[in-house]
Amino acid sequence: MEQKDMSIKNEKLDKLFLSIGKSLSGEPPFYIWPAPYSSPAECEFYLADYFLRDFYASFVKLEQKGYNVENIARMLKNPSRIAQLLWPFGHVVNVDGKFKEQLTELASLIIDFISFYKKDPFNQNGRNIIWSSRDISNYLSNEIIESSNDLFESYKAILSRLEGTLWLYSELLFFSIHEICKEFHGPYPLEDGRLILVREYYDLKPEFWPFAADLPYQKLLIFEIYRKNTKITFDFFGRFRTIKPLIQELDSFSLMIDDRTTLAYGDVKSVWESVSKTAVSGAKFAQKLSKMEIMEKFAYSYYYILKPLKDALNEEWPPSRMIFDDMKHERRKTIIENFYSNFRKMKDLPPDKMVEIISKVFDPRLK
Amino acid sequence: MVGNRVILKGNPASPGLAEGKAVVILDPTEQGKIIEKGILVAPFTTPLLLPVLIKSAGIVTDKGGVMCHAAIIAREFGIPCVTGTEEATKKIENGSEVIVDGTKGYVHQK
Repeated sequence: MEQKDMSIKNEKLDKLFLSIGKSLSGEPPFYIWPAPYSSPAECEFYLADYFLRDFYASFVKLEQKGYNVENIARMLKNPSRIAQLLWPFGHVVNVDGKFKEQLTELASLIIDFISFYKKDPFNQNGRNIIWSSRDISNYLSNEIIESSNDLFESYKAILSRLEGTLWLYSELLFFSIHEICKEFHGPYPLEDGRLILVREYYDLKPEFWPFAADLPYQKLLIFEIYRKNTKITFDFFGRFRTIKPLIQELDSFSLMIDDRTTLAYGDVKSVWESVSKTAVSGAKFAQKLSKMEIMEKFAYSYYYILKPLKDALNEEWPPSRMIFDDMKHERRKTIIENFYSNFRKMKDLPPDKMVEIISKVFDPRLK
Repeated sequence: MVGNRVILKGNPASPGLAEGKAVVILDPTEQGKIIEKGILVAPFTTPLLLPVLIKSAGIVTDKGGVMCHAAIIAREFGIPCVTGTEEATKKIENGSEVIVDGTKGYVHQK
């Protein structure tokens, strides 16, 4: 029985790391915010060991306090947020025997956490399906702005600005792991072939960025219906991909602010203005920070995922000062340089080989 | 666009045509002058450029492909974008009038 369990677990982990490999192959990790100060990979090399040990310890302590796996999964809020917990696996350095076992257990747990939210935790078919058909029907019964509306072109113009600004704002807050604050899901097909995409922004005011407190909204939900054959895909990390501006294919939409539906053009415009105002002041604030301060904020983004677990344990949630000390003294410099050098060599490899290499880099069983 | 010289070729990262004054920003940690409906020209984009990006009608970058940050952002805003031109920040003068053809991946001097 134990052997069978082990085999199921290994199969699940194989699928996980293959999904990660597929999501990341062909994507050079350069010029991504916190560029030009640093890079996501550089910051993750500094925090990965501390963060994953801390995450594992929190999980064990919560279990001892009587929390089960589902309780902990629900505390972590959303599946794409949970998926971000896998990034540090690719940058962990000091893996001794016991830690290797813990990492393997954590990876398996992360899949279990995500499975409480959706049937396919790997988004294998390029879809991120979270809502049931009943959720969709309920939402469709609400009022919605349709393409027949006289102001539809004006709505589209302001909506694309809102979506672009929200994207930049969420990146400003959470760097490369901005799925921490949002869950985009779908596409859900309608009978006539049109597709529903739901963009949920649910955590737009993290306390570690002072300017975020000025945003009047905690949550925004944009419910969108696109024309037939619109190409929308998701990768394992919940990142959605398109090949052209989706706004051109928009057929109808509605906007919900903190659980209240807003349809008036003036209200949609006012939401965009508020988001822009906070986002611009945020960018100006971030511009005044030093490289070290920016890298610290990156570490805060990760630890913010663990905050609900730490709160339940009555523990402080911010990152360990040891991470910042390592950053300050560039204690991972050589490792980071080797990483980039190896990555550059990979660019001419066939896609299958790239997937294989990336999958192995993340897999703790092979460390 | 007949008569408008092609000055750069890059990746067609977000389709459409846009024309306007170039806002050349060499260092993303410094803000350029914000021009309503200008064309942002930068080595690459980051959220630090947010004040300029939200006013831009098009984007041209030196670095990146069709899945880079500038490309994704341009598609979200629904504006044209050409990436990976290698030398946009060298060849385009700040304030000059340019046309971005995000469908073909060309940048024209107006």
